Amino acid sequence: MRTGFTLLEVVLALLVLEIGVLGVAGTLLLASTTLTRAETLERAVARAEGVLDSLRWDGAPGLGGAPFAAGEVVWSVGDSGRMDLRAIGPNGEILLGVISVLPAR
Amino acid sequence: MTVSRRTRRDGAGSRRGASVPEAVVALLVGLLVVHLALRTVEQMRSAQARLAKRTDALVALRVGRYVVRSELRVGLRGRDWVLSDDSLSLRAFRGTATVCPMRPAPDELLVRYRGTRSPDPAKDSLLLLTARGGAEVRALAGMGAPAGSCAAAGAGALAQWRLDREPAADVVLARLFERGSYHLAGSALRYERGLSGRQPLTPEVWSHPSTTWTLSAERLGVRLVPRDADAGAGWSGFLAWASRP
Repeated sequence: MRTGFTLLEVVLALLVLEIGVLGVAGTLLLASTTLTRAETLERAVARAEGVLDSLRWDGAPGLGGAPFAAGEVVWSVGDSGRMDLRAIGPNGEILLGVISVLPAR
Repeated sequence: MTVSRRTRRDGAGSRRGASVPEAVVALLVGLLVVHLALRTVEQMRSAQARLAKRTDALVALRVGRYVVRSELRVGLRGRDWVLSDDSLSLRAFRGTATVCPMRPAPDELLVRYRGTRSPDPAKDSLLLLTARGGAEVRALAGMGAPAGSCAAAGAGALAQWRLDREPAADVVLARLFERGSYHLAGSALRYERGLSGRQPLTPEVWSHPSTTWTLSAERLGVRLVPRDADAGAGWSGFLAWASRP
């Protein structure tokens, strides 16, 4: 009669445990990535709002750019007041875009 | 090989338990597994705590920025808001009413009201705008059932308001507001109305000495610095115009 666990049983148990741990770690990693993206978007929106407020009051035709923590907000204003604003992320991706017409001054 | 108690038989008889080398190896392997498990748990808890701090900081940034910007969007410095130390005192507008031509009594107005909440005579005042472009402030003294109709004054719930004293004859619009103040205190953005105390609107995540309002001749801004370095980077930005360009 033998009692206790064989090495194979222990290894298998550890393997199952490892899969569970990796799953939790993967979830944490995903949460961290999502949060980083949310932070980047929040900062992009905040910067874009500030730029839009300025353009609304002083929207002279031309191009401009304003950096934020993880990218840059760039805009162009045409002679007709048409404004195109974009927030560019750290990898060059477009985080948000706004196309509008500025009020006549 | 086994790592725990086992029974082994040999030709001459039976031997129970494990040999000393087996027991030592089993003990070492067991300790290693426990150590790794504890370290993993510790690192996961640490990672979860960092995530929670970053989430709180993000919520605080979003709420703080949005709330104050919304309150100040249509306000004018000096008339609608004033900054002193950590306090931003303001008229917090909660609704707008179109004044009907018919007036039930000299100190009463029949209005059509739209707003984010119902008027409350205990805490609300009115900024009354006249047809000639004037403005005057009255306290909302009471409310009653509307005595009359007002089809021409647009959308909104019909209401009858009693003021603390008679308003101008040509009042056309009434803006309902409460007086309150926002504070960057106790590591959070707080709102205080009357004697209700400073109620926190955000999680308490900000470094108190470093987190401040920033006011220049043209702009009101804010600098938000998280108390904990794990909570992420701070943010400085625009909230409202201090003087209209």
